[in-house]
Amino acid sequence: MRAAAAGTAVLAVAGLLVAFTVLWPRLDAEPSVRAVEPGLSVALERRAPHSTRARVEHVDAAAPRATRRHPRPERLDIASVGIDMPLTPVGVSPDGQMALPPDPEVLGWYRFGPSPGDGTGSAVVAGHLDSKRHGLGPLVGLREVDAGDPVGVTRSDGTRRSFTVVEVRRYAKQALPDSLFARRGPGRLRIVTCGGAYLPDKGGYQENIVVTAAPR
Amino acid sequence: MKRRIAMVGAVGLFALTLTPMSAQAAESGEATVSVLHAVPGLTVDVYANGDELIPDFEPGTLSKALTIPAGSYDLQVFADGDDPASADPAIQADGVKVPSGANATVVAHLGADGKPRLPPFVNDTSSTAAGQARLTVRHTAAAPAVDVRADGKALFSDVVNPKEGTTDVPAGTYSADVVLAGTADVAIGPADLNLTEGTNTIVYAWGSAADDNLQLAVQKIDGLHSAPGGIPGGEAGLAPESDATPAWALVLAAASLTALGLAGRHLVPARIRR
Repeated sequence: MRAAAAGTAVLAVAGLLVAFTVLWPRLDAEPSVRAVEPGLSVALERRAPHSTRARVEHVDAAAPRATRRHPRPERLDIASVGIDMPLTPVGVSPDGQMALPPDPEVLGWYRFGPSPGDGTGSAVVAGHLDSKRHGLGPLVGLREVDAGDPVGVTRSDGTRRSFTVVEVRRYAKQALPDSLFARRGPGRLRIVTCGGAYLPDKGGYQENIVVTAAPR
Repeated sequence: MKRRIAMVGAVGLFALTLTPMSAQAAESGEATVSVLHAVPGLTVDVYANGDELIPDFEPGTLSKALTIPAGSYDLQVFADGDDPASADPAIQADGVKVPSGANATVVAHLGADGKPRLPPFVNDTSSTAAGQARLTVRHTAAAPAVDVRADGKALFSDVVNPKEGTTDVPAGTYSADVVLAGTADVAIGPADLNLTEGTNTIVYAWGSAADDNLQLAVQKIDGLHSAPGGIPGGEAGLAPESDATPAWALVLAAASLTALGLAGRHLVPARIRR
């Protein structure tokens, strides 16, 4: 009787070990929709106050200053998970969502926001996880990315910007925060694709995976 | 009574939640005001309520945005160097209302009759949809009615001094010109207009048709952008749901705990168990 009980106990402990080995890494990777980094909340666009009597500078209204032009991001690599993909500028699709390249081998860079390596704001790059026409793409590797992994972006002038992953987070698709696209605040690179369950009746994948990287 | 207090509280909270972003300025009773000088041929000093606001102001220039207390202002424009104590103002506008939280541009310009005026225009600083840019056109020239065209298509028709029109368009560069209303007679332009996403680009037609000095002035107000509605990311469901918590691990954990508890009852000596 005691022997049988002892055997059961050993088996139970072994079972617990196996279960927790599987569950432990997930405990801090649960989907979360709470606020991201505190510094990321969109800053109120306020100008420094002037006194009524301040001498003001004038601008030549006939020739507005040229908008700043940075080199364009052209490739993104995350060596730890074998991602090395071309980047193309994208905008907004008619339904108001970020437009993505149809080919899951290509990443889209949100061209209205900051560029990767800009000192301020969130540079957003995103791509399809898969497509009916092209199959599964390399972004499936984003699920394996860990904090500390190096990320590189090569730009049109040949320069390279290096980043380190600081956060991997999952959001319910409806709960993607606007601050993801912040144009102010600390310079961050955000790499986004789909995750979670694929429910065809509910618009496909249910989550966004957001990998945040900070300049190195 | 209690219920009433609760309701009042709820309404108060609701009102707080609804307070828009611009309330920052509204609460502090301030307004953002720029001044555009669009009267040809005269360098001036601008005074507000008797204080010099902008010295040595040249035609075709725009002041930086000023944050000033909301209220009523008596504005005077003197020829550069004239002493406000003795000289007559070149242009005068009394009781110009600058509402709290507003973003306005005061424009010194010629009326349709060729006489200088000094009205405020309120700028539309509401958010633009992701990918969109706002274009505002203002007829501030001594000239007849005009149409404003972008890439050859009329965006605004029959605009007369001192009216304005505003619309949101996809961000990009447009070739813009101003034609006499209903004709193809180009009065100004064409000029390349870069309409930046999340920006209100305000274009002034100014000068005088009679003096043949019609031209464009441009003011830009940025920071109106908003984020896209979301990010798609896949369409085929080919990726395994590897990142979901496997049910078998949870079941195994629960079963193991139960088994351990039962086995423990037999293993621990009875006298300790009591």
